[in-house]
Amino acid sequence: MTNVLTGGCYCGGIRYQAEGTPLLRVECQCRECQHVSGGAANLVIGMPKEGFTYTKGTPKPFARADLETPRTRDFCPKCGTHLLTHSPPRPNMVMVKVGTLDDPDIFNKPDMIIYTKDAQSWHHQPEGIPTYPEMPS
Amino acid sequence: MFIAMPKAGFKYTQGEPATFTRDDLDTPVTREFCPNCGTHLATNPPGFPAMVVKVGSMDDPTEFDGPDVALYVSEIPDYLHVADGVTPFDKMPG
Repeated sequence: MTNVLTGGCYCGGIRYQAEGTPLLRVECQCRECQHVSGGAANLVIGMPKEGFTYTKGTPKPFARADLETPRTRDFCPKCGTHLLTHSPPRPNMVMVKVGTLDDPDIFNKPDMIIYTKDAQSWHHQPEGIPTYPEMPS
Repeated sequence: MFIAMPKAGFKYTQGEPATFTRDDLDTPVTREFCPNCGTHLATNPPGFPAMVVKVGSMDDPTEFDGPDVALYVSEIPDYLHVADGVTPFDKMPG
């Protein structure tokens, strides 16, 4: 089923459209995501890169200079909302932050929980959802 | 996730955060984040003696040890979870 997901940052300066079938629903508990989220796990939905466009505004990208193949994280330079991540191992996908969707309910629940090796005591791994210490290949 | 620390004891020791404050509210909070990487560091609520520090930005997040209360549970999606022993509030307790 093809969807057109829309969303944007908290201040409204950046808006996007993501068209296509959701490819992946993930909860990530890695230490990097804890910085981005404020400390909770990060919820993302993988959407086809070819169907994704920013329809208003331009995000600021951040990529670590000390890694060979860093993720690039797009955020709003005005309000700081993180919108999505570009992941080099998945070049055909953008990882959209669920909290930026106009209708976050479309996420429903994750297919998998990753980077449980970095999980904090307050992170939750419910029964029935596969967990992985890192990113499964 | 956040931990409220006394404003009097809080200071930035390196760099200057970007700030965002809504202009459509009477008493908006100010959110402070890194202009380079976007990490949210703290929220400054007007008239409140504490800085609201984001746990994910702490060098040792384990000092947080889990929340005492969960706020705005009236807005959480079905998937998210309030742990046993954590007191839920529909909004901010007054």
